[in-house]
Amino acid sequence: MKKDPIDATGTNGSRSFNRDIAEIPLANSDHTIPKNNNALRNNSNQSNLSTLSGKSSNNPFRIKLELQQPTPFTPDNLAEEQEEPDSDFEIDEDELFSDDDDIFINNLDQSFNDLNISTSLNDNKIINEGGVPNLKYDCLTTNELYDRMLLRVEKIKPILDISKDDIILLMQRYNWNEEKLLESWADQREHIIEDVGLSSNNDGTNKFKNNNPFRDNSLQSRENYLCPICYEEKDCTTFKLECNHEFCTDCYQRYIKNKLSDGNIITCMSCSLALKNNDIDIIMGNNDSSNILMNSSIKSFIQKNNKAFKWCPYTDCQCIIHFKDTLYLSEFKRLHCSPFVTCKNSHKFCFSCGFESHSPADCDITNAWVKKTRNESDYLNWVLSNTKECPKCNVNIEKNGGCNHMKCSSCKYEFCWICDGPWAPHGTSYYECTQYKNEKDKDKDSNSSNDDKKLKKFTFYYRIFNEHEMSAKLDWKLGQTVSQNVYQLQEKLGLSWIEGQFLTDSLKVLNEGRTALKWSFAVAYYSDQSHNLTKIFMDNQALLSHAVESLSEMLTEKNPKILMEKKNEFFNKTGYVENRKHALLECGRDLLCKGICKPK
Amino acid sequence: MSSLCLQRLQEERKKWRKDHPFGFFAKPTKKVDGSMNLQLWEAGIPGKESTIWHGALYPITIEYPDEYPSKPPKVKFPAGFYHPNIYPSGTVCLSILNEDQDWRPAITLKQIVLGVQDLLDTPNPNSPAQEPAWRAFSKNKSEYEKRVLLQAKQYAK
Repeated sequence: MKKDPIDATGTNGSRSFNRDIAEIPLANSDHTIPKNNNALRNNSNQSNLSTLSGKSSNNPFRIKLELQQPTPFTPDNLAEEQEEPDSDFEIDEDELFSDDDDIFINNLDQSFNDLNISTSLNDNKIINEGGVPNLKYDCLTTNELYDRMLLRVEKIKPILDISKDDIILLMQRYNWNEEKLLESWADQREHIIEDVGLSSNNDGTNKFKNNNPFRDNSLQSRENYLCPICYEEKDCTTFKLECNHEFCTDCYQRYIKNKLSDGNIITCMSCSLALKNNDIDIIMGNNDSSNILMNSSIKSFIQKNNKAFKWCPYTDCQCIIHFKDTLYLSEFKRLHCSPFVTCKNSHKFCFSCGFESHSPADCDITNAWVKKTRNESDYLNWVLSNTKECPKCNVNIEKNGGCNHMKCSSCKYEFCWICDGPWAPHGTSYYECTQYKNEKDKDKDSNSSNDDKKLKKFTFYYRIFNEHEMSAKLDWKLGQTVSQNVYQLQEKLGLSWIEGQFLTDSLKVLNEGRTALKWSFAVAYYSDQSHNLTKIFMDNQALLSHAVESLSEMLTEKNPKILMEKKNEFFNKTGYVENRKHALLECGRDLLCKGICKPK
Repeated sequence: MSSLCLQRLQEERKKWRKDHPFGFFAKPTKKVDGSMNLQLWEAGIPGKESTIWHGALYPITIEYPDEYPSKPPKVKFPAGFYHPNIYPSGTVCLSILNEDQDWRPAITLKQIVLGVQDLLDTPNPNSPAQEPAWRAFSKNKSEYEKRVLLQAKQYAK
């Protein structure tokens, strides 16, 4: 075990990291037996992988690799090996993080670990095979992040020996980077105090060190006061800091309100003396205002540290994903895998590119595809239209839910929504319409130029991609029906909540399958069509497509009794979709790794 | 226009008429219908004595946004004005006129025009706003002075 190169990563830091990764395949072939034992202990991984080994290429060596990889990288494992808890953070910090911000983030991790408030949401279903590192990340809200910052403020309070509010100001000024702050504090303390506005030019720095601990900064009631901002002579309350610049609270409130969303330090309206959180709340007459300011400040901190922090891109989602070890990210890129993270509201997205879960495509393919679709979507607007003519009677049909099995309400013709062909062959044999066929047999197209063919090919894939996107949206509607069904199961059949959950699970699997299928068409588009592996990939697509459609159809069932009877069928189908999805993802990654699929 | 903005500008005008620095002028413009437009002022900045800017009165416009005094006014020279910290459009780059920097609601018109006058002979090469003047100022002083003197003649009183 100790000779295992991966174990070294935990204690030796980053310099050996890349080399170790490169050595993995070698090491595995040498130490097969001991590592296999290691892997066997991990039952969950094994069951997961056994399904994978079945459908991926029949290379026995490959399967071995899959069995071996996951264990060394699990965070628990690292923790086990680590006797001294902080060693990996401190040994060669300077080499690890040349950037100041990174040092800071590293420290942040450290203090989080110290405080034992890890809310790690590691997703165990990440594809672990092929040396893909496990993800280590936290999901936070700005408030939680701020609370953690406050803990850090408490920590450095004895060092700076000034009040908490003052430190918060300093932290704001230094973008919550305590390393930089402490450094500057040691070098040029007086300059900082003035710079941040803890003392004004006129007062001189001496006055700052609490000669007057009770700041003369409270509200005062004044009669006939002429405020030099609004020039209104009136009876009002006023506020002033030590600088004696006095203004009416109306003006101050307007001024502060304007500044809250910037997240910067707010100063006196006449000089550079800073308003502390407490002052702000006194002026505004509530406790929320300084919180809003802190929130904005944290937000700008996140924007500035966008390597390690990312907002959940979903609408109105307030979650922030904090990636623990940004070094891993380059590893993901190399392996054509994407670091998908899931926030507390179970929104899954790619940490690198911010897109939705786009496997089997990697970020480059996704990017290329999205750009291409954007460029050409104007031209292909007709594809996007929601209606389609019935292939038989030409009645306009709008698809507003369900699977691709269509039945024209006017002529009762049954057809496939994607290829317009009759449904009969789809139901029995595999799903033919997921495969793009070069239209060689069609004489009329034989003269068309190469460009035209390219466009046709793109149109075909783009259309399928969109169909699946639409279907995914409709599935979302289906989700509401499903939750109703779950409710009905409880009501009518007196079942417990947990017994109805198989429906919700099925829906989740359906969604994931649909998304994978959708993005697989981007991969297929960029793949070398003549290669055998591409053909295997397309077969995999067809299988998943078939599985997804039948699951989707099953979920449209409304009768609770029938649903319960079909419970086993649901389990089987869901498992099947899951397996097919993994097979497709693996196959897609293979295409990418072998360079058969390249963004052009 | 908010009443706060209007009231404050009226007061600024009153104060300016009562007392303003020697050599300067500032007055609100007139709207098409002849009424006073307090949100757009015209002003003249004299070059300081014993500087290469001396002897001229440089015209500026001061535009007050609706959010004034929370937000600073925008001060503009004629487009193409030759100075390292003035944009090709004529907009002045000065910290006290920047909301994110040193603007304070308590800053008065007098302080603004004095600040702009100060800027003329003490440009800040660290925040250049136009290339020709900045390049000449930092690389070729004699060329810079020649151009400034030429400009002074153009705006001579």
